[in-house]
Amino acid sequence: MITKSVGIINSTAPYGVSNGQESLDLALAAANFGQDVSLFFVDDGVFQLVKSQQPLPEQGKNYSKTFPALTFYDIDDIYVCEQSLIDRQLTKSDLCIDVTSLPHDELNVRIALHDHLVRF
Amino acid sequence: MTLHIISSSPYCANVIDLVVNHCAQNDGIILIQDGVYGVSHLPTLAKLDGMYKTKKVLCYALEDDITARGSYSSKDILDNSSRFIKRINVEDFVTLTLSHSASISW
Amino acid sequence: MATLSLLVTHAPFEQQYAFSAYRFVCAALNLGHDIKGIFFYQGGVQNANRFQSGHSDEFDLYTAWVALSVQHSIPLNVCVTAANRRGVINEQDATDNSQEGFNLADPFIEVGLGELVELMQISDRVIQF
Repeated sequence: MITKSVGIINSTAPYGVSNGQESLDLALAAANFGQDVSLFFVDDGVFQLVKSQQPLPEQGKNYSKTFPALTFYDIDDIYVCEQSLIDRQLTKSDLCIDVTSLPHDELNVRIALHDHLVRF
Repeated sequence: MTLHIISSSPYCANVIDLVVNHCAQNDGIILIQDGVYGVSHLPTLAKLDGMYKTKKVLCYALEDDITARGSYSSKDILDNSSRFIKRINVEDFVTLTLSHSASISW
Repeated sequence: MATLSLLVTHAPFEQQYAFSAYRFVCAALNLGHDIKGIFFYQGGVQNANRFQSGHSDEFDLYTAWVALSVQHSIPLNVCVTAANRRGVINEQDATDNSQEGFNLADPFIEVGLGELVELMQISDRVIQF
């Protein structure tokens, strides 16, 4: 069977909404089922990757701890929007994992390579 | 060719700028739900017009969602926007998702 | 004819998304397309709550989903994790957790996220609402 690829776009910040956590659940499930999955962090989604997050239990789960383990799930295609980092005064050294940051045009090309796109 | 689906009002969420950033050549944009208020929002219109001119991005708006929200807009603006925002029905929307390679719901 | 699936991530009533999804499915069926399934995730799992009871002059989306599923054999898949987090449970969950009632019943079915992955594999397009 031809495996279709899925691109998961994260564009919302953590804690305020559950999007990031439920997006990660889907990414892990897709990888478990052998689906090609890429993660894109754009706009406020880049805040999900900021290191040293310390939420209280009642503020939400610190699912950012899972990001360094993504490689064990064979999720290695993780891209960040370069401009979104700049706009938020972030650099790659502020992030909890090593990612590829790309300008809009290159990011858009990467995103468009996928059969299905979902956004959280 | 990606179809970008915009469903929030341009007056309270700056989704159009995000979409503009994520639009590639020949992508499409469809305004649905509160996104249809974009048809009379001048900054949105300017950006959509620009996207058409620079990247051949075609823009559509769901007719039923416009009709549902009443006629509130200055006729001049609507006439002007109808040049580059095509009113379509839900069946056309389905067909658009198939004529594009994938869709992103912003 | 194309194969389509929908991912519904918003609860009904508060927001229009689920209603838009329903209209999209009806339009796709009118055009002769094959709807492989609808997957309810995040707040979208509230669509499966059979205890919804709106006013009689309002559109009954729950009943509409059920009718659509029965008439066109469209699976209504509900993410079990997302649903249980939001208090949407089936009879088995209720028994397992000693709950007095359950609000998720056929034709809505509890599934894992793997079912969404499966739908992606067999669908030409997946549209999110």
